[in-house]
Amino acid sequence: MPINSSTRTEQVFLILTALVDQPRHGYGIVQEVARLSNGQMQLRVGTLYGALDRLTGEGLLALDHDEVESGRLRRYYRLTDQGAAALAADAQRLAANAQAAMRRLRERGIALPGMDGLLGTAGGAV
Amino acid sequence: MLTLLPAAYREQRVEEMLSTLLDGAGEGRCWPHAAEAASVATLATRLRIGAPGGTRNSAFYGEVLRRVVLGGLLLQVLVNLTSSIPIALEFKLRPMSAYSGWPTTVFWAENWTWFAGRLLVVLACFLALACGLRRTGRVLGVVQGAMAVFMYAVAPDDPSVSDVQALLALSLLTAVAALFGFHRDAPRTPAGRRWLGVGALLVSFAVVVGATDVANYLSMRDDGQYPTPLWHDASLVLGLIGPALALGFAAWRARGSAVWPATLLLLSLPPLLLTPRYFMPSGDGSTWREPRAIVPPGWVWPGLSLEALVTGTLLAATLWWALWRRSSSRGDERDRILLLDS
Repeated sequence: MPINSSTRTEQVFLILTALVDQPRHGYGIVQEVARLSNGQMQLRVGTLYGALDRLTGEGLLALDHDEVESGRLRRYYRLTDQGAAALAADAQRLAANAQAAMRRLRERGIALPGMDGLLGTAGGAV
Repeated sequence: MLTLLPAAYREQRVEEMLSTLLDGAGEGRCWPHAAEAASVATLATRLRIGAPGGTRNSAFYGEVLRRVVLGGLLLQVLVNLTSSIPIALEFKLRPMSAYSGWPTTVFWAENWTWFAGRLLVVLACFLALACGLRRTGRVLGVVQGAMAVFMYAVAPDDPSVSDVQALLALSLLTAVAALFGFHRDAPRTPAGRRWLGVGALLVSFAVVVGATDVANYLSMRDDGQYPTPLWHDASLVLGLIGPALALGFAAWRARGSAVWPATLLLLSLPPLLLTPRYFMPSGDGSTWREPRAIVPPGWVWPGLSLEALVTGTLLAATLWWALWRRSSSRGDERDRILLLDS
């Protein structure tokens, strides 16, 4: 079942992204999401596990394995093929929306944060 | 803090969640951050009303809440279109000396647009939720409750205050149920089109009833008598049909599930607030319901109040019967439907 874009949040998007390269446990997901968002998003435990329950129920995530490390149980989650496909579709949609926004901002001559100076229409690619 | 979570969920998750909390805690910190505690409390609430990972009981509670919202919104539409707005319009169009003992009714006549405005919000909320727009529906659900509180707060004291209280209680019940029932992890509204169809039928019916009531009122003679008691008799019958339909529907659905009996029982609670007015002496004993012969002079016929009491009692019995059927069909197996989460 693909992510329903009307209900997907940025948190869910980042959780899925965090699991693309390798399975992670709960705190590992929290750390990776914080890194991906440059520290902007701090996942709380209640939010994290609510999202994990929902995504597991939708078939986008699956339990990978359990480990006991220093007396603490770590349960690892992995991204399923279905989850990867849904994430890819979402990423594509967001990228298209972002490109459209950037194009219009360039046309209007508005500088984009993090980009060098003002991109004029003469040299700027549309 | 983790004891807030439902027992079954805790059993599966506590070690894992504790590890995550401890990994994220600062050096030497013994207590979770307030934000962590709030997130766990929010998760615990959602799990108890049908979020993924909850028990079958929680799915039941969540489903009841969602139906209370949709049913409560339709009930408000029905009451507003057949009673509140017509009465306000009637006093606006033709203030009658027979009703001079009801000053607040004149107040509502002057402010009938408040009912109309709130009715639009209620309808918009219903449409949003039936169509799956949960966030919009939750916001509108709270707005309609806030509007009801405002209207109740500004209304002058009057003998019909219990009517307003019943409407306020129904509005608040709907607002709270909308907040909790349509949370982010709640399932989509099943049979949305069916709800829309029922809503359309009910609105059509209510508009006809309300318009007929206004027309009938305007035909009243100056001595307070109607040319024909037909509409008055018909309205008494209509007032009995609604509860009868609700009871019949609850009994029919109770054979398979306790959701509808529980939903209708909750919706039957606000009308119980009508009781005080219907056992209160009126100004001159000459208004409203019959049969007056068996009511002491100066007292108003408590028909509507008794109707609410009887309906609520029968719905409670229907719910008990539905739960008993499920219990007996499961035999010795532990029945999670019957047990409340500890």
